[in-house]
Amino acid sequence: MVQSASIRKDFVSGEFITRTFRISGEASLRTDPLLDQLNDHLALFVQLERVFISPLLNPVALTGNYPVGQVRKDNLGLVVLSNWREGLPRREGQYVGRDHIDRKILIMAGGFEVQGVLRLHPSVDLGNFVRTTPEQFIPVFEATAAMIANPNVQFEGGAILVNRAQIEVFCIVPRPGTGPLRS
Amino acid sequence: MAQILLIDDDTNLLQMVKLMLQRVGHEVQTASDGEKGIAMAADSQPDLAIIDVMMPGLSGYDVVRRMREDTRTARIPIVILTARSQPMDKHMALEAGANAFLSKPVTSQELIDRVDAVLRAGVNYRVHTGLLTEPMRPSSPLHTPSAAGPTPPRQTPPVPARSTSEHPTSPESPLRPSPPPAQFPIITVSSLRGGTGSTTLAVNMAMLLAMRGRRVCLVDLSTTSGHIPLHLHLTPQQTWGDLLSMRDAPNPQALERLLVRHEGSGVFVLPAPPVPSTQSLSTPAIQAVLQQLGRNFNHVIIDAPNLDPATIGALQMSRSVVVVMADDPPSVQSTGQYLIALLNLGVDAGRVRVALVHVQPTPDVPLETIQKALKRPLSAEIPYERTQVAAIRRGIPLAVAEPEQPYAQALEQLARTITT
Repeated sequence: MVQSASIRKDFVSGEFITRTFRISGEASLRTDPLLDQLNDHLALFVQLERVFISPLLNPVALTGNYPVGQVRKDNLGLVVLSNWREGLPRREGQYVGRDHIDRKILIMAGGFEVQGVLRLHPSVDLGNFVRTTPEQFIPVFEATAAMIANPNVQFEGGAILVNRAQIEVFCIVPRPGTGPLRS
Repeated sequence: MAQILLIDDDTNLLQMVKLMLQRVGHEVQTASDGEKGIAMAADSQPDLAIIDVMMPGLSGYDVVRRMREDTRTARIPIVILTARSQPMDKHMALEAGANAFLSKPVTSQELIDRVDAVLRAGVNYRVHTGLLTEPMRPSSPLHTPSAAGPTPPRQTPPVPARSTSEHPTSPESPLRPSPPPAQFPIITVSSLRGGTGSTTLAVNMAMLLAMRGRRVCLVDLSTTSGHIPLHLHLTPQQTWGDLLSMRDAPNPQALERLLVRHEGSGVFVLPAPPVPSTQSLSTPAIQAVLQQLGRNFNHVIIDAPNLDPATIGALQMSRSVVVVMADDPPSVQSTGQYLIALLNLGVDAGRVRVALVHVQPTPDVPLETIQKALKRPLSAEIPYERTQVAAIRRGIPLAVAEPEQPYAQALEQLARTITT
């Protein structure tokens, strides 16, 4: 077994991005995967431990740290996970399945431009999915997010969970035609 | 054995990292916050410090800056280990004066490799992913005499070798050896990213040269189950792995026994062990092998998918190096870093050619963008070929089976450029 020095067992580390702050923290996975916690309509907040806060204008400066913090979910624009497996349910289903395919998308949400792929069954219509899914956060895989007001501020991760309530524009990137070599 | 200082507020992680380092013979001290850590560093003068970023009180960046400003700690190499793993965090850590950046979670092997590389490289070098080193920029606090004061150069202690020193695999410092002249007809085909088709390219190039009546030897330096025999439907009985147990360079007869002949083309193959190996040939061992092959063949083509001592030795002796890349962003990044590493290894840019292989039907990154990112033109663009997998199944490379197809034509052009 590969030994690894990690964040604590049963916790996932993530970047929780609001319009003002970058909040680095660890969410407990003892009850549910992080995505399920974020999509739990009965809870308004998600609890984080080892919370370190930076202003988005200077996202590498640590301006505050607290052992525990509560983040209001509807104010979150994005949640950046370096490895999607740590935050999403392991079960086969909506986002995990052998027959799922990647489709490139671009989303403007929470002051960020998010690019990546949605990983869904080929029969799912992406536009319909985004309009009608009951879930508040949707995972964009292999994603990058650039702050629209300052594109030097960029986040990347195995998955970025995007708050659907903060989506301003959602676009499906058309599949490119044949490349120049095949002409 | 080196003395290492760990600074992290997470006591569980401190213990875990401490155990990982102690297991390979390092002496480890720990500090649970930045202030204590700085004091311990000044007192005990460790050989290396590993520092977390997110700590109450002084952040890791503050600790690095303060250590760089203090003459007693300015020459201690620093590795940042943090869960804040965005590119901007890495940039910030390196700008503050750290020598390497690791993001959590980190495996024991990654940690030990990076620690060893930083200890070897010293405080004036940054060590990146893939253990590539680059000199610290002069603007770094380390190079500001007014900030750090005149300090004597620090001698980093020798790092313990984890394999026996008599063995051909004894680990030399792989990143800055002195390069001998490239006098042999050796072409190294290499890529630091898997799945770019570098083995396929090497095999097909060998076939094309053999079809011109040249004596060709293909050398598979893969340590992770080489695939050249698969491409040619060969079943080797011996591999270069058999050389690992030899203390001296192999004689011609011993080397000849390792070579397998491909009947269709007459190409000889020096295969890699089929089982992934933690060992590779040492630089002197591979160079002794290549000298013998170079004297007996018109072309020696090396498939080198790793940057280990064997590949370093091959690169030094190569007349041409073909860096193979795909058209996706990770490959562009790896190739850019590889080109820098090759320069650091003394492989001059004139010997290096970059070949872009389209491994999917639709290009991901435009050609112009790739060339702009690499700051050099591509030497070849190999088109996507959907029958590639079938060619491997048949054991007949495309250059032989379909020499008129664009794939083979592009390779032919590359081979001509390299060999004339």
